[in-house]
Amino acid sequence: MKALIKLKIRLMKDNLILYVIMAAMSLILSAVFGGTMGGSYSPTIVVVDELQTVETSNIINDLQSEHAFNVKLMDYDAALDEVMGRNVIAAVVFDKSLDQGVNVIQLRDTVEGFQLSRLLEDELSLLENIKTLDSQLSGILVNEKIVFNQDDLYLEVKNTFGDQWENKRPITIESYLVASDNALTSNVSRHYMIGMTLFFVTYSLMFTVGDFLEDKRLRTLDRMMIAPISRRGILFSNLVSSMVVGVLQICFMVLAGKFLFHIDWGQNLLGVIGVGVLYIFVMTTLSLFVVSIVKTMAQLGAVSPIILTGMGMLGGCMWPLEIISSRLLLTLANFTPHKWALEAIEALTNGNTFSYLPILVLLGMGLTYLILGERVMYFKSLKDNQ
Amino acid sequence: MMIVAEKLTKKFGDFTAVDAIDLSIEKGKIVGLLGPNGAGKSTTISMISTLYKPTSGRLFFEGNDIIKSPKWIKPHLGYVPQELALYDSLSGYENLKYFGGLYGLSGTALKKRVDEVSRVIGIDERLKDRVSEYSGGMKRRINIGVALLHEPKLIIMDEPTVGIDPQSRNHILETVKSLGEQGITVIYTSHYMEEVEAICQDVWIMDHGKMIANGTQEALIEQAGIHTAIRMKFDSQIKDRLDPLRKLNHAMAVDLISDDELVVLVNGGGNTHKEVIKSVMELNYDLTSFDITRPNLEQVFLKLTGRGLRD
Repeated sequence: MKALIKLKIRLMKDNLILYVIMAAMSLILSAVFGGTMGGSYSPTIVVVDELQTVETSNIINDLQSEHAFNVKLMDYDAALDEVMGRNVIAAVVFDKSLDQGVNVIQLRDTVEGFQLSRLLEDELSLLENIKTLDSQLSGILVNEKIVFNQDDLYLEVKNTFGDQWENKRPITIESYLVASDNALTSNVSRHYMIGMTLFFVTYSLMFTVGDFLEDKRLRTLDRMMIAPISRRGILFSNLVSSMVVGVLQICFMVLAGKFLFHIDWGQNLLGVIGVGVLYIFVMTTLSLFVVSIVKTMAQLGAVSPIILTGMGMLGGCMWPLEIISSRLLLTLANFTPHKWALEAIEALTNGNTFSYLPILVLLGMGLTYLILGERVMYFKSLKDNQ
Repeated sequence: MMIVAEKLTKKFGDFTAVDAIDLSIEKGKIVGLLGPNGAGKSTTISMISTLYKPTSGRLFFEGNDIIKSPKWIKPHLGYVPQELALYDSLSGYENLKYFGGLYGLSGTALKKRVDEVSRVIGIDERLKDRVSEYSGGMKRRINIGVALLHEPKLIIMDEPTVGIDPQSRNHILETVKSLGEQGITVIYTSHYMEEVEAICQDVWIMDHGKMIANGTQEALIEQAGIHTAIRMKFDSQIKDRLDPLRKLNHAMAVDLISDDELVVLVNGGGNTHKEVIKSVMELNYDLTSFDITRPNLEQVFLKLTGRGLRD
């Protein structure tokens, strides 16, 4: 079996260019997606302030100070033109009392639009809380017959509560992330780095496992079957050598992310790599299952992009699942290893928490594909023999 | 016996590829397995090499049932498939090393065997070149070399000389002969009858999944009833002097072709034709020339199956 594993690794040298291309694609696309949708990129929004109040002015200042958006002020018609012309991602319109909400006009849902909505919700929520607190305090002071200036009280409440809000925001955000499944990841670049790595590593895996078909074509498989090595031993060697490639790719991408894109993988780097290895196991066994169904390398070449791209898209490698609202798509995502691996790695990198459910699901998927692949191959060999 | 098959049968669906054959191969012999395309040779070989499981029957290697437990034969079997089962992108050395590794060889022992085998197959000088750069003959030699690495007791060769130059073919045939001399049992299939005649001690002939004849080449010729024909030309008319010729030992029949030319059919193998010629000389007949046509496996095959080997 050692000889088989060594051979497979030796043969990989001939496909080195394929692995280099896959790794390069992961890096380039991570840079493109991450750079566009995260990192230093600030999308432009326009603000239409028809209310011209202190509160709206504060909100606009806050939007600008967040540096998440490039903010421009203009009138309603001009703002609408900008949105329709796709020059800006959204227009924020303050045209009614703030307690009735704020209009956000956009052509379609985007990650940035979602971020903008969350930011506005935060601002409005803060204003609403200050108002409620001011009103409660006014009631108490009136009941206690204490003389006070309404404007001064509002200012005091705003400054005190607002400051506390600002100071405590990191804590509030953290608790919000833990409590909500819909929380947007704080680091879009990291998401794309993970997503693209998970996506591209699957291609090289599929074709490495597909070497089994090549051995069948070359009849070298016959030589292996005649040798004193079991059928399972041959299969296992193939899987181990494929996994080695996948693990090397994952490690390379984690290190490239750290040193090229300055991605913070959190405190538990080993945990991240561990989940990566588990994901590689699942994708290797999935590849085995696919290879067991097809008959030739040509067939594998035809079906693998459909399967892998479909799974990658569904699983959230190309965009965060948070922006998906379709229940069907979200349900289907649960059947992809990509979704669970992303979830486990992001849980580790965001909050250093070890998430057991994704690990268990990945393990279950890997074992299921392994058993299915092995059995299909066995029954096919019996059929070939009949 | 090295290999014994009893009522060995292999069916693929409704099609019977091998039909209840009995076979026994002695240790240390080079045995030819002949048959036209679709006769069942490859299926028989595949069953012996444990690639196919027989539908019924029994198969033994050195007395051990290899259908129940293929482990008895696997370490002792060398297999040379008809196709070049090699990795083109690797060198000959790497191919030999890898396949040797499958049989548990490693380190110095493996290196030593690779060196020995590369000398046997005559490819030691270009061993480090990629197989894709080899000629057809060199690839065939490596294909054989792979089967020799672990010093097997039994080697199965499935048409090992297909599509190669005469020089490589001769080298391969010499290699097979020397394997036989070393006491290794060889099962050899080929479409080239002259190869089988040159190297095989025993021949088994298959047709339509059945074993139709077996034995030494002489025995098969005898069995098929084919005789040596001696065409003789005389200086004068011979038609009135035929009786003494018909009475000669081993002369089965005498056919007159012309006034001064005839054919004598001689039975028995070996040197019986020489005895007949000597007797004719002793009769003081004015024999001017003669031509001997000895029966061969091609004729035996034609007689037994009704078709040529390459039909």
